[in-house]
Amino acid sequence: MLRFRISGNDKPRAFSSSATGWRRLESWVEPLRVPALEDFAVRAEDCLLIVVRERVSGIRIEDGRDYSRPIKDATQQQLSAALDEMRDWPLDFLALTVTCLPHETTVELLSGIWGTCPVYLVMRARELWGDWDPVELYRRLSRVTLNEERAAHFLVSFGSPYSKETIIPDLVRATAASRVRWTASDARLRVDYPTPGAEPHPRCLKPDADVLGAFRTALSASMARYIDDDTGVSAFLSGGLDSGIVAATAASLVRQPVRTYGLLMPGEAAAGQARRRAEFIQQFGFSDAWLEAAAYPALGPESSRIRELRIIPWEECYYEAFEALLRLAARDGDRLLFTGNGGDELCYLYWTELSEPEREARLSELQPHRAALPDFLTSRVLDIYSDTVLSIDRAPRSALPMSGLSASASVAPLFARNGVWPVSPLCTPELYRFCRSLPREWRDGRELPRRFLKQLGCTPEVTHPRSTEDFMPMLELSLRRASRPLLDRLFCEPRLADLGLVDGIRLRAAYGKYCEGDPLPYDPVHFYAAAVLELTLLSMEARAGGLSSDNALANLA
Amino acid sequence: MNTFQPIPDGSDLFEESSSQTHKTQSETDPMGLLIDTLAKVEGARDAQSKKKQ
Repeated sequence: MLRFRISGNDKPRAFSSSATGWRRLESWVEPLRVPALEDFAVRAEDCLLIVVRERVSGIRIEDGRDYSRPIKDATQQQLSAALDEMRDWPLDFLALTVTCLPHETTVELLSGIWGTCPVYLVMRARELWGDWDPVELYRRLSRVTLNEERAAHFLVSFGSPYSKETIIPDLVRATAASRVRWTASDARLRVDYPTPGAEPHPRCLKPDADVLGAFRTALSASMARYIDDDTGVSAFLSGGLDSGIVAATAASLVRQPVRTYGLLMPGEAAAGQARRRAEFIQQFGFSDAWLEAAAYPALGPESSRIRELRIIPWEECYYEAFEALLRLAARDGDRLLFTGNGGDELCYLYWTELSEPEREARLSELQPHRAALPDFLTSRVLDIYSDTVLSIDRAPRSALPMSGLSASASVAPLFARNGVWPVSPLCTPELYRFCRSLPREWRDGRELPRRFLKQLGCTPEVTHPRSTEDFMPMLELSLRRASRPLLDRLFCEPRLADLGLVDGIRLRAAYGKYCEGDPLPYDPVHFYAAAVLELTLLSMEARAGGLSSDNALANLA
Repeated sequence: MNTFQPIPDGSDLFEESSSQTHKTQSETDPMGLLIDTLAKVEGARDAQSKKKQ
C-alpha cells in the first residue's frame, strides 16, 4: 500500500505534500490510493511519519481523503503517540518514519499483522526503494539472478515460503507485523520479525456452546468494519464453501444485493459449480457476474503480464483470469472485494490428530520422492531442496495462518494494479483462533462451514457436493495449447539451465511429450514453475538493460 | 485515542480447564511442527492449483 524512494543524499529539508503523496528533493513517498484506504502524514522536528491504513467503518480521520492537505505539524511526543496508536489499529496498516539529520537518514517501517499488501524493498547505494509492486523494483537490482535455495523450493514444490527473503536476491519483503530499519550511512537494511505467536490447541466445549452462533458473530463483526452504510458490498463467489460463507454473511449486513463475481471453470466439474453458484445467488439475492476462466488462459497470448513483462514468480498463477474478473468489478465501481482466502486453514487437523496415512500424505507434499519429480530438475536442485526443507527462512508463526499470508502476498499486486482492494475476513485473527480451538469433530471434513451453510438454508448440493471444481483443467488447457508457443521459445535456451537448475534437453523433451498428450508421472505445474522463473529472469534483464518488453520477447529464440 | 469494539472470539464457549496449553507431540517433531505452522503446506499441488476466488 506504499511506494517510496528515500535518498540519503538529500540535505535536511522538510517534506511537502504533492499531488501523489509527499516529496523532498530526490526522496518521495506515494501511498496506494483506493477507497478502502486512508493516509496521513505528521511532521515533528527532523522526523516525518506517514501512515497508510485500511479504513474502519465509522471511524474517519478528519480529512483522510483530502489528498491536497498539508502535512500536520506536531511535537515529537505527539508523533510518538500517533505511532503507538497505530500498533492498536485493528485492520492493516503501514507506518513509515523517515528521520533526516545533517549526516544521517534513517527509515523505519512497521507493518500491520494482516500482511494484505506487503512492501518490497531494495537498497541501492545511499537509497532505499520500496514498492507494493516488486516489478517496479527490478530496475533497481544490481544483478539478474535467482536465490538458488528459493528457486529450488519453487521448482520442486512450487512453494514460496513466506519470508523476508524472496526468490530474487536483494529484493526484501516487509512481512506481516515486521519492523524494517534502514540507515543510509552504513547502508544497513534489517527486517525484524515479530515474536512468534502461540498456536491454539483444541479445547473442550461447554455443553451448551453455540458454535455456529459464535462463528457468525465473529465473522459478521469483522466484516462490518469494512462496510459503510452508504456503499454496496461485493465478493468473490466460486460456488465453494468459503467464498459462499463470506458472501452470505455480507448479505446479512447490508440492505442492497451483494454483487458477486466468479470464474467458471472448464471441465467436468463446471456443471456442478454452476448449480452451486445458482443456489447461492437465489438463496441470498446476489447480483452476480461471471466469466469463463478458459477464455483467459495462464500465460496466454493476450496476457497483460506477458505483454508488459510484469512477472512475479510467487504471483497468482491464474493471473489472466483473475485480472479479467477484477477489471469487470472495477468497471462496475466495486473497489473492495471480499474473498474466501483463509477458509481452508480454519479447519486443518493438527499433526497429532492425523492418521498415519494422512501424515504420510502431508510429509510427501513436503518431501516428495525423487521418482515423483520431473527428470529435468538437476540433482543439485533436488539436494538443495531436501537439505533446506526445514531450515529455509520462514517468518515465525503469527496470529494468522502462514499460508493465508502467502496467499495475500500472491494476489496483492494484481489487485492493486487494478485499483481493487482484497479483504479476507476468514483470516481474522479472532476467528482463526476460535476455529483452531474447536474440538476435532468441528474441523474434520470441514464440518463447521458445512453446518454453517446448512443452518443458512443451503441444500446438500452446496454443503456436501459430490465433487468440486478446481483449476487443473485450466492449467492443462493453458500449458498444452494457449501458452505453448511461448513456452517452446522459453525452453529453447533456458536461462535456468545456465544457472544449473534444470537440464534444458530433458525439459524440452518432457514438455514436448506432455503437449502431445503423454501422461505425466508428476504435476504439470512444474512446467509452469520453470516458465515463470524464465519469464522473471527475462523481465529483470529487460528492466536492467532498458529494453522494452516487445524487444525482450522478440529476442527469445 | 480510538477505542475499537473487540471482535467476539468465542472464548467463553470453552471449558476453563481445557485452556491450559499442553506440549503436543508436534512440538517435539520438527516436521509435525512445520506442518502445523504452515497449516496448508505452501506450494502443495492443491494449494496453488485451486486458488480461492
